[in-house]
Amino acid sequence: MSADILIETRHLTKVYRDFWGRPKKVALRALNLQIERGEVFGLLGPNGSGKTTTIKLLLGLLFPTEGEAFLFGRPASDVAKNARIGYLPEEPYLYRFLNAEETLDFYGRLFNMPAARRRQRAAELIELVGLTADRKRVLREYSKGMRQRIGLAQALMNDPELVILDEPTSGLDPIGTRWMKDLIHDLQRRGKTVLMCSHRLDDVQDVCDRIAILHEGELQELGAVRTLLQDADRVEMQASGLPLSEELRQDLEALVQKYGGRLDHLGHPTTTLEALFLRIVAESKAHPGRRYLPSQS
Amino acid sequence: MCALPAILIVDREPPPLAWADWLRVCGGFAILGLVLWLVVFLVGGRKPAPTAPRRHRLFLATLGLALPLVGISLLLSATGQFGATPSHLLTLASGTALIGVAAPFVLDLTRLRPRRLGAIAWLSIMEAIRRKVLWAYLVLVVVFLFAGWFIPYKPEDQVRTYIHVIFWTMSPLLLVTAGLLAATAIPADIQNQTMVTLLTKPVERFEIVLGRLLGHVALMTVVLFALGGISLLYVLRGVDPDAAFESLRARQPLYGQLVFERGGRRDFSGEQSLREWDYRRYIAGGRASSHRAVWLFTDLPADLAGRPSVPCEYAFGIFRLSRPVDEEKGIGCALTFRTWRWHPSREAAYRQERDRHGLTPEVLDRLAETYGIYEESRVVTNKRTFASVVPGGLFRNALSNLPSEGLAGPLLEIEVRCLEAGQYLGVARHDLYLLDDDGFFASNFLKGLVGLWCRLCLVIGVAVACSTYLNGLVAWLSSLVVFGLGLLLDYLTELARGTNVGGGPFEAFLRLSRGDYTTPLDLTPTTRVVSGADEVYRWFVRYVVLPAVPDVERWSWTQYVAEGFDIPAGLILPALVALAGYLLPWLVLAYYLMKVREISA
Ligand SMILES: Nc1ncnc2c1ncn2[C@@H]1O[C@H](COP(=O)(O)OP(=O)(O)OP(=O)(O)O)[C@@H](O)[C@H]1O
Ligand SMILES: [Mg+2]
Repeated sequence: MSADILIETRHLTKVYRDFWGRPKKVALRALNLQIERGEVFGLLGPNGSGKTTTIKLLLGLLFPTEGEAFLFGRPASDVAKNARIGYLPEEPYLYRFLNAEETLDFYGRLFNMPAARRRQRAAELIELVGLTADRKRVLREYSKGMRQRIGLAQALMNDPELVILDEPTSGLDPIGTRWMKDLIHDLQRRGKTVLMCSHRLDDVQDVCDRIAILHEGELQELGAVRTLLQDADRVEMQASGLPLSEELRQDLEALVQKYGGRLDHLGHPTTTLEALFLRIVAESKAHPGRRYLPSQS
Repeated sequence: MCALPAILIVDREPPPLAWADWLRVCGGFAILGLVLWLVVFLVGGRKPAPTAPRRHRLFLATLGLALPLVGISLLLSATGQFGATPSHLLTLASGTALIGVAAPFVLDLTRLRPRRLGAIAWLSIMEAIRRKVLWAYLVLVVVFLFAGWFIPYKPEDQVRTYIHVIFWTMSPLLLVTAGLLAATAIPADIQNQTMVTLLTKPVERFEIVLGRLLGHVALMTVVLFALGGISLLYVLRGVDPDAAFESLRARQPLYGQLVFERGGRRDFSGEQSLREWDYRRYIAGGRASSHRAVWLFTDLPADLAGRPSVPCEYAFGIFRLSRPVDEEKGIGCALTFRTWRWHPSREAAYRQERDRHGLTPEVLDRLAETYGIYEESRVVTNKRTFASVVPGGLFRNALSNLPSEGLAGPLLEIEVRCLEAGQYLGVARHDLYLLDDDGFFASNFLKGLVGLWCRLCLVIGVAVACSTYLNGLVAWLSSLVVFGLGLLLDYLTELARGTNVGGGPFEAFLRLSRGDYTTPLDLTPTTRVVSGADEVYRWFVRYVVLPAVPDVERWSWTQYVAEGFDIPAGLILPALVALAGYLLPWLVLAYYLMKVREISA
């Protein structure tokens, strides 16, 4: 195994059983994966396709029915590997009676970090996830998005080499989503490896280098996002400051035909709702109290 | 010299710590565990991934060694060759299994880190505080406020009653709540998925078990001693002077060595009573009887010689062959105190002098000092404590002119005879003692709390161990059942030995259906099946249930506190060792259950 492969699964299979050991549900079938250092890898699939199961197997929370999983070249059941991993669960399962500072301090102790380092690291992370003002409030009072943020802070407490994110953007508003994506990019820039799973395709598309698509516990597709999505026989062109007119259309059509193509569509691109939302919020921040009316600008 | 109401009846002395038995029992459970493992995982077709292959091989090898040994020894005992059961083979088998099961546990102990254990313990405490669980204990204060209304008030019983009320409200309240808190912690972690976050940190699974255990023990320690402190103030506040004199004490008794004498020879060990669990031995009464019970004191504190008198207290059992009209009426017995300097050749001189001067305390004191003897006769009733005031002269006699090379025999002998024919006097070592000193009631009270603390640890330990596999409610009930069985240990032992009334459950059922409770069973096929089934049941109770049941009486010292006896230090240390010895196998069980547990919603 090359040193650069952080995660490897061989024929990984999970069958959920009932109390008597009778099979109940085949959640994962013979998964073979290799994830390299520095990648952002996306695990994609509809609800119940086995994404969370895969991650739990990798973390040693579940034990494989067949096959093996290795992280950092060690079996998944090895506890010591956790020192190099940060994990954000599907929902941040944290103690609701602790406040943000106490939560981070608690997990820091589990990493056997000395008190001074725990304090410093906790302050940094609370700043990073933007909870400085709420750091003394108990998690019971947090909103879903705030819990997701403290969950992320908790996952980064040990400055992990490998970050595993289960539905990182669930519960986050578009700004939070953007922020999360930037953070993932940032992690990648700092040489970390990220394994995330999601069924929000746009998120995956934006941040992942490679993806695997699961359905009913079976691997359907695996490859680099760019090559998977590239539509090789279509060409896109965008221009600005160009008024739309029938004349322009005819000229362009002729030009395209000259090169052996066919013009399918010409018009204003519709912006994504995400882009619109981000613009509105940015405007509202710049001029608080003023309603943003796009038609007037 | 009236009868003191203070009675310390130690119905059953705590059994001595038996290391060999402990190892054998643990080994037996280790074999049982390994067989279960074999059945569940290999036959059941589950793949226990977390148990590393090395551990698998170890288990298989252990079983491969232990099972044939058990088989051979069973075979040998069945064929009846070599006389009795070849117990050394069984010991070897259980020893092997014990090593196989304990080795991974012991090796993994080296991975524990205090900081992580501390973090999880801290979590348990924070949880209890933030969830405001601790307010529940204020219930106890309410009990104190109103207890006074219900307690029948007799001045000399005041302290005793209060102590009993305090311990009887505190014990159930603390045991039940401690068990509940401890039993629900890990299941709640799994249910709320906080366990997922926890286990993706570099935490050993056993650290979670141990951390929870320590956290709850720490929590209950604080609660116990806080409530104990309040209770103590409650007792001390306004105690009646009479009650204070009776029970607000911590008597420190001096115990002797008990030997029996028959026909002038000490090769007798007393008559056994018909009651199996009676710890007393009996001497026959009557002028003609040569039975004596003698307490030998080889060691006495030097300062006894400086006292005007030393109390000697005793409480004996009485076994009557003929039922008297009045059960409460006592029987006469004679006590003779003799020091090592007493010599029978001086008996005549002693008696002469005594008859001449009469029996004033001054005379008795002088006689005791000169001759080394003091005699007293009195009427005692069943299991009540009586006190004699032994003149200080006796101790001055005993402790002076000691030979420098040391004494061959005891310093002091106290001989007891039963004076009434047809009656038996039952005695045990602790039934008679010289009262050396009084300790502090408050510190004795705290020592009494240590007994309750041990019981709390027991319940918490069992609850946490069960909760690694069972859900919270069931784990809690299990811990209470284990504790309850511990309270019934004597009855269970009778059941296992078949000495209880009515026989085993199957016989009882048969008798119930026939409506016949007394006549011995005739030998029909039905009764044979019934007694066979009872035999199996008894075997199960004796070899599987009983060894797993804690002897909770070992950790109950309320009686000492309530009666104003100092809890001997010699009781506390063995109790702590016994606690550790009992909890250790549970922790090993928890270690494995936690290890193979899958964390899924
Ligand atoms: N503890 C369990 N016992 C039985 N079946 C389970 C258990 N956990 C999950 N499953 C089943 O395994 C399958 C895969 O579940 P998994 O949680 O891995 O899906 P997922 O891809 O994470 O879905 P989602 O997008 O909804 O989070 C599902 O059909 C689910 O019902
Ligand atoms: Mg999921």
